[in-house]
Amino acid sequence: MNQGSSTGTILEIRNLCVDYLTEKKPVRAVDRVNLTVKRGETLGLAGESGCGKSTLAFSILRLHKPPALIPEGEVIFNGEDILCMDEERLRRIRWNDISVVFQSAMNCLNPVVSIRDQMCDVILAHRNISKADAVAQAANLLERVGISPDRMNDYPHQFSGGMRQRVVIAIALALDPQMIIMDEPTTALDVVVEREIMAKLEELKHQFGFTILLITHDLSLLGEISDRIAIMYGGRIVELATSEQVILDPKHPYTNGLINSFPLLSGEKKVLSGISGFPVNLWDPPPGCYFAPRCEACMDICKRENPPLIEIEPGRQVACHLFPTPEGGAE
Amino acid sequence: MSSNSILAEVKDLKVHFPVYGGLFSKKVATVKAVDGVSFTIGKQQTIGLVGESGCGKTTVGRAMINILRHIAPEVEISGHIRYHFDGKVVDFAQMSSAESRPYRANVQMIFQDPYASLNPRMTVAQIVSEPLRIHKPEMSKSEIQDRVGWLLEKVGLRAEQAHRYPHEFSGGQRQRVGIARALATNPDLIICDEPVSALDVSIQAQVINLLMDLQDEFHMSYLFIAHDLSVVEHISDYIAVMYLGNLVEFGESKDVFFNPRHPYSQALLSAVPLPDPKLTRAQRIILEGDVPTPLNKPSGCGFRTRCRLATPACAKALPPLEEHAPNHQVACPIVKGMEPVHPVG
Repeated sequence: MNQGSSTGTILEIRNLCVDYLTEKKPVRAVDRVNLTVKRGETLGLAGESGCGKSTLAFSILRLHKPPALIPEGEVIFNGEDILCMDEERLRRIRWNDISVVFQSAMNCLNPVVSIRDQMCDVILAHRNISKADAVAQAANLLERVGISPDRMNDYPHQFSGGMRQRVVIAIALALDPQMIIMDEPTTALDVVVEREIMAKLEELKHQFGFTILLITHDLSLLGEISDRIAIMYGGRIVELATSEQVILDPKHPYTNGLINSFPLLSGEKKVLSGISGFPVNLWDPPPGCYFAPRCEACMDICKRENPPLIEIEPGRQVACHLFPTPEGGAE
Repeated sequence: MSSNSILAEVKDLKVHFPVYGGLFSKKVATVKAVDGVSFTIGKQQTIGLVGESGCGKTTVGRAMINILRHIAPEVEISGHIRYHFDGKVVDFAQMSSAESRPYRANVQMIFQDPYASLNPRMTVAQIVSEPLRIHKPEMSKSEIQDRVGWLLEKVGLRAEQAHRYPHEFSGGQRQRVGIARALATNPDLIICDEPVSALDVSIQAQVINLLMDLQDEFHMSYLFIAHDLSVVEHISDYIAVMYLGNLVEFGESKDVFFNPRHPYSQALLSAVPLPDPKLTRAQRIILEGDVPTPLNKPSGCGFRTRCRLATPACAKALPPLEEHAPNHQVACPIVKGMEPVHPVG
């Protein structure tokens, strides 16, 4: 395993763009995203439907399919650019080093193959060990996620949604990856089951020290379990800060609107302001800041120029004209 | 609650679905989806009904509009769903779908999925006017047209959008169309079955605010079925917590949320993510395992198989809902006299 050029950084996304080609013109789903994932952290990526968060997750491992296309950008993993790798090298990185848990992953288990065989398939495809060793390893993995290995020969339909999701997490952990990308891992599940899975995930993370990139629309969940949160809107990252900063002191008007859209379970009722208007239509985006048409603090410059993502304090980035320079901003 | 402020009384409601199997399609089992639920809905009140998937909350909602006998003719419904409509008392649990039809204009429903609950081949005008055409045949075309335009304005759409089709609208706008349809007959009660769970958070808040504003204006009651507890707390006056076909706790929204007494409600609230990093939880209760199947419910208390306080006595009889504090009913004799558990420390 080659170590990253800069210790502390496991994945660095530089200037990444993803376009969806349509008959008329390309639609830019991910627009010049710069994001650094630190080794061992849980980084949350939040945004509404269609903001490009899943497209970003797919393109990190080049799992995007046509008509999606990456016109520019770099994804540096441990010092190597994933986007320039040959297929063989990429194959070795996928699952071994970075694994992915997809949205409604519990439904992506093969219904006619037993859990044991599905797990062994993964292990045998990437590791040169005997079938018996692979079975033993699969049993061990199931035990780790809290499923009795006696149930290994069962088929997916014999498990509940929460258990299937834990099987999928076990499979994602099968090769002891350095990083797991999770795309809405608990969205289809009840809050009680979600809690159980998140508790298990945190426990596993302590044990194995992997890095998590967690993609979800559920800011309350992110506020609780992630170290840092990146907020995405219209394919761009508009704010990046620690969870505490994002939840308690959001800077970007969009983040602020999101925070004011759900009730906090902390006592006094507040008025839910929501965000007026509708999410940006990437077919026909406005010329300046994508959030400008819905923004209460919109200024003239916002309608003309897209604000770059700048660092307003150490470790805290915002893309908004309200914060022009690191020193004296408008606020 | 005085009797003239009551809109609906649900008493010992049971909804059982028989399962047929074997060579001669004999009845082999019963799914006890709802197994003895009682609560009342006051006029202009919002009752939140919460619980995990499969606990029977949607079935309660469907029973209340008396649609179950229509979609599943073999269903066995017992108990009472008494409505007080303008001094007249009708019991939907005892009526066939056809018998209840004259009264169904008073009880309407908003569905979870705004993409699936609007017919893609009908214009918004046709969708919103459908309940009027069924329940108010005396209305003329132009009256209906005016009413549709007025309804669309009320839910935050424009009257000239009436001739568009559902696919031309976003999820939040479609849900507004669904709300306009539910409002069309000027109902006393609207059953909201997970009305915002398919929407983005920024849109969710808009729809919740709309529902609350409409209630202020038209004074109807809501039965708000949801699994998102923080939203339910925000909108409801009373909360009913359901587990495996039974109510386990019923009380004022604040009491149930901030002083939950039943071990299941405590676990449920303990599971809600707390976004505020400064808040810490007094204790987190993590439920292991899954909800037992309603095909084969545990004896006695349905929750005992996952309950941290269960004793052998819990297997004997189903504990009834009892008042443990003023206006706060709990179906668990063990926690009687115990301090409630605060989900937020």
